[in-house]
Amino acid sequence: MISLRNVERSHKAGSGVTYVLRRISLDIAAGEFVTIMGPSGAGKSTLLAILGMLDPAFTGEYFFRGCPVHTMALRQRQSCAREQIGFVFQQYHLLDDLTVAENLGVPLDYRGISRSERTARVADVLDRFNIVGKKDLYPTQLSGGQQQLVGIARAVVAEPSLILADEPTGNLHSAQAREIMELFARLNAAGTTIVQVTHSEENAGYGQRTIRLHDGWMEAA
Amino acid sequence: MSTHTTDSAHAFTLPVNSDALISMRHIKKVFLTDEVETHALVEVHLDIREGEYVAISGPSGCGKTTLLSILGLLDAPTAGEYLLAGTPVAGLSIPERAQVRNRQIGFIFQAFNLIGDLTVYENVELPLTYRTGDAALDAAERKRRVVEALEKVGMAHRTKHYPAQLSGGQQQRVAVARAVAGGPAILLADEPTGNLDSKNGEAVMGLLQELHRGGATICMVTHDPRYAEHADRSVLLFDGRVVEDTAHAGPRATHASL
Amino acid sequence: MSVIWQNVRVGVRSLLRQPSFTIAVVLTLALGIGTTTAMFSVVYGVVLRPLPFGDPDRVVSLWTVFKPALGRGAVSAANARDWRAGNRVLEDLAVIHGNRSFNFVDRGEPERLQGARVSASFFPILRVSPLLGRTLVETENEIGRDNVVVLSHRLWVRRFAADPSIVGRVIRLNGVPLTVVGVMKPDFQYPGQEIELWVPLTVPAEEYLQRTAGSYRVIARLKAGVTLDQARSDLHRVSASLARQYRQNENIKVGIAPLRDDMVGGVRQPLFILLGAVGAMLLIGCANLTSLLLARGVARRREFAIRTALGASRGHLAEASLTELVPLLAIGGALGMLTATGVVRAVVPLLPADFPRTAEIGIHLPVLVFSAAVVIVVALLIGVWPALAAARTAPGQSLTDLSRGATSARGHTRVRDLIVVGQIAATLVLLVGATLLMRSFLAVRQVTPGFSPARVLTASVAIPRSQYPLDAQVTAFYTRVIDRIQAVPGVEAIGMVHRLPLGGGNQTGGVQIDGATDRPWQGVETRTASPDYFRALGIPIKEGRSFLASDGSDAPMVAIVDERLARTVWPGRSAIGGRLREGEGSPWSTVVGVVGHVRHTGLDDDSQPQVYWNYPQRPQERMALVVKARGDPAALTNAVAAAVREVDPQQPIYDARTLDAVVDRSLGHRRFQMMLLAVFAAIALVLAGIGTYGVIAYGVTQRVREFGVRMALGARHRDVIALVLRRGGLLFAFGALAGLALASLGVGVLSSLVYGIAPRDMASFGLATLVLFVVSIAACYIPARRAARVEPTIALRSE
Repeated sequence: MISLRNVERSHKAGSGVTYVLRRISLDIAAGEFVTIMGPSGAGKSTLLAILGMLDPAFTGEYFFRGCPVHTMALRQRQSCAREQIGFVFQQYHLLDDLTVAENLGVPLDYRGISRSERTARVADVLDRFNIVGKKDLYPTQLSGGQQQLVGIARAVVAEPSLILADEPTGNLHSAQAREIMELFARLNAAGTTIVQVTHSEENAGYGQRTIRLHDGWMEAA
Repeated sequence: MSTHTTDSAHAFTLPVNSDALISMRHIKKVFLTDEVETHALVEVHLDIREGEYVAISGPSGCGKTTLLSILGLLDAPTAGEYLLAGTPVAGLSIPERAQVRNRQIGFIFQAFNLIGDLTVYENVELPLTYRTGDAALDAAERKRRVVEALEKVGMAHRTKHYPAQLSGGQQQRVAVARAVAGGPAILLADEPTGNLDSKNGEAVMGLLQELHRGGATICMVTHDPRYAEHADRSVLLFDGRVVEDTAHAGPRATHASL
Repeated sequence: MSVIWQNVRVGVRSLLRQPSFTIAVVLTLALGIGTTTAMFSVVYGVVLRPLPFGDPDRVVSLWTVFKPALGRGAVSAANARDWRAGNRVLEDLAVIHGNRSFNFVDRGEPERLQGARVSASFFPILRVSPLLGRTLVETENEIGRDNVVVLSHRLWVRRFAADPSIVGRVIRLNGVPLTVVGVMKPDFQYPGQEIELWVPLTVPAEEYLQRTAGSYRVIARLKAGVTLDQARSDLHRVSASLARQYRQNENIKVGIAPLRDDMVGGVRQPLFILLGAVGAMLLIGCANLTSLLLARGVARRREFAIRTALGASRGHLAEASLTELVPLLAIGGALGMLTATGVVRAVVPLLPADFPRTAEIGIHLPVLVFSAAVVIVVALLIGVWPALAAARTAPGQSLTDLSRGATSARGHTRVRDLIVVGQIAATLVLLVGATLLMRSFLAVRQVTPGFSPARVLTASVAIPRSQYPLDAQVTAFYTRVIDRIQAVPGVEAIGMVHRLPLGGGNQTGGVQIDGATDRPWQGVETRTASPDYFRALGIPIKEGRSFLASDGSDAPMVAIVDERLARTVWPGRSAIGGRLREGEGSPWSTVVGVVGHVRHTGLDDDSQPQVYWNYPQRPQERMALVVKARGDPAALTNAVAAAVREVDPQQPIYDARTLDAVVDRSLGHRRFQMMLLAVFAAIALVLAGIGTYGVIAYGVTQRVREFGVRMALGARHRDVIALVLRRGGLLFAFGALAGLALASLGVGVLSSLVYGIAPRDMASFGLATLVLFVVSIAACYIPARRAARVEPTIALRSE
């Protein structure tokens, strides 16, 4: 499904150039559950952003389902990503002026789904995550952990074929964290490809393999 | 190695420790937004002696940043006592806090936070220009201190440059110079290596190490366990409480490569 | 001290690194302060500044009122004399005839000078003293003793090289030797700016019999302690007593008003409207500035948080926020003053020819004081708020802000939104005003004046009575002129009239209608014309005939009336054969023709009916030649001048213009007001556009993270643009609604200037709204496109 060849990402800092990712080459097959680990500053979030087609400023090749993402313009990338990828952000990135229910509905808005269908799916997700009581609250009224849950719920509501999750359980109690990992496992079993970035060895255990990054380099497996 | 454990059910109030540079007892901080109460700090007791190098770590959301805010007099605790260099902080007015902050605290931030419109020299000088009254410094004295601080961090040759012309590591070094120029009682560092790669991060840690050897008191927040080991003492926060407070055998030696 | 200097340096430095912000602020300041100051200097010089006479507020203007509806009429010599004698409230009264031209022949070119004939009391009433010599004495107002002249300063410098021994010299005006008795000071230019000399007014005895028709202006000075109302009632008493004594005075009352009103009354209201418009524009500019500064303050929030963490006190923070403001105000204010000076210098020559007191417009001290006050007010308006906001930086939030890196300032945007809504509303009001005036202008230009100005050349001739003392000589001169010009090739028709329609001058009077039992007296405009006048101007003859050569000085008196008078006085029957006369002592004139009504005072003014006399029967020394050309009228100018010189080599023609130009000139006031308001509306539009752009662009930078999230969740290019445009559309909608409401309430103010359309004209409102809409959308579109092109990852990492 995913194929990276010699992908590098750098940015200018003051008078020099800092490399965030160095010669990353990897393949991820459909249906896999992969974990990316490494110390902070190693480039994990950047790699995930590139995989999610949010960051075009890389060199090298990235094939998603055979499409050469590295040659696609913003618009093409938009429509490709929209349909297939669900992203869980480390900082949740909920929209502060929308309620929880409205936040959950945003990805569906951009897929041209009918009103009734939308309401149904949102209700379903609220139920699955046990946050029905919070549906009319605003993100600022939720605790960090609750916001994180909503972020994850938003990523799955449109039933994507690929989920990219950046530290999805950082702010959750261990019990909640385990529930989320179970959910991911279930989705994976049903065919969703999952790539997660995490610090936790326990979370890594749910995946089938782990890729380790250090200072932008991929460690030999 | 000695450990303190928290008293979750205390039947008495602990007295502050007036020998220590910093002494906090029963510190509690609650944030109220709309209908939600967030208990950022529940019950924190903390002493920091002069010359100590303390690392505070814990998972995100555990209250580290809030604790640092309170330590730095940027925020007031909802309850509890905080004694800084013998002065109880609770009774201070806002201008008085600003003054204490200016004279006793040196901040080092993850995002460097230099002011882009000022040169390196002016950035380091800035806190010195806020000294008023009996602590006011004349231009010559300010210059002496600024140059001294910049030499200490190895950035004295770039006084006329702007932050945008420096690399991340260099900017952080200037930030350290700014923090020490005024001779503060304590340096508060908030994830100082967070925006640096490992090489520069090591360099900054080395700088802090050097300052510590020179007698500086440092309190650093980090979530990277490698860097936490640089310090004399490790305080672990979780869900608003101190759950571990371990002293190390000795500071880890680092090479100071700039 | 050095700290202040360093602060200013830092401020300038940071401004240089934000060129677009700096330029936007400085330009807005310069425009706002400059135009407000320029406008105020006009208002001050023309309306507010005391007239340059001694104790000017006690000087009043008197005029004749023929039944209230007929406006102001000139005063007859008889009434002036009797008002002077009979009143108890006036210190003195002076009579002025301000439209006298003199042929001045000296070494060098013959030149036509404008002068005024005045009573000796003229100068004392105005409390002005001469620079050299003396003014007039009462005895010189008698015929035979009047061979003296007082020169204006300008003339003395221009033609006499400021010769200090000018007093006592004899100069020839209109061929008559006059002794110079005095020279006035430089700033004295009454009754008009074109007046260059004053001669004594003399009135022949017969003229005193004619009480109704007059051609004089009267000024007077109130006695100490007398109020205007007291003067008015006393003069009513006098005129009532005169009405009892003389039948001619039956319907004559006295009008009185302060002299200043007389001079500037016509322009006072439009000027204040314009000042209001400029003030609105300044407010809009200030709104822009506040917006820009607030945004800058938010952009500097991080900086303020850092300073707080370093121990800055509230005072330090406020000071830091002002370091940029001080140099901005200094540069903006200085540029504003320069702009004002330039604008005044550029605009004053463009003012309509009859605009009063234009010479007094300049950057006087009160204007400078006003300008300084404006700068201070602006500084307070735009500086206080951001400084307070900076000082209020809550330390508690600082560290979190500094750690997290991103700041969202939703609270502030509401205020800035309101500001933009206000700007849009104010701009719409100005636009509506400008549109109304523009459409009015176009409507007025469409008005048919009752004559056809195409291919007509006009030129004035003024022969001096001293060389043509007898009426018969005057008549003969003009007859010869007409004959000569008729012979010029290319001339289709040649006529004359002693006041050109729309030419700016007028003669009004009362005529008595024979046989009209109720309302025997009519207020009319009277004209001396020639037989071919109507043909030359294309004025249709509705009934009867034009004048004939046989209507000479010995023949029975004839008159031609316009159809309006005919309908009013002889409704339902022919006016031909009706009789009218100018006063008890005048002979009856028989109406021989009825012509179409002509607009004399202005294209938009249609008040008075007209009566025409034939020139041999009512000769005038000053006439306007009206030459209808086969081809280009301007090409005939030299030929016409030559023809006149053939008749009398000493006679120049002057004011040669095509009639189209005359008509155009009559629109001068209206055109000027319209252009001014249009310029203000245009500037306001630009400012509102910048304001909208600023707020929307700023909103976009604040919402970058949100856009990034949405794009990451699947939003397309056009979804993001739609989000931005929706916000801009909302701002526009609220602003437009408020603006339309304000405009419909406020157009009453303009109703006196609006012509041909209702003040609440839907089309104008709609057009103005449409223009504003287009500009608003354009202002939103640029940031919208930029927003849609940001890469999501950059957006999500935004600081």
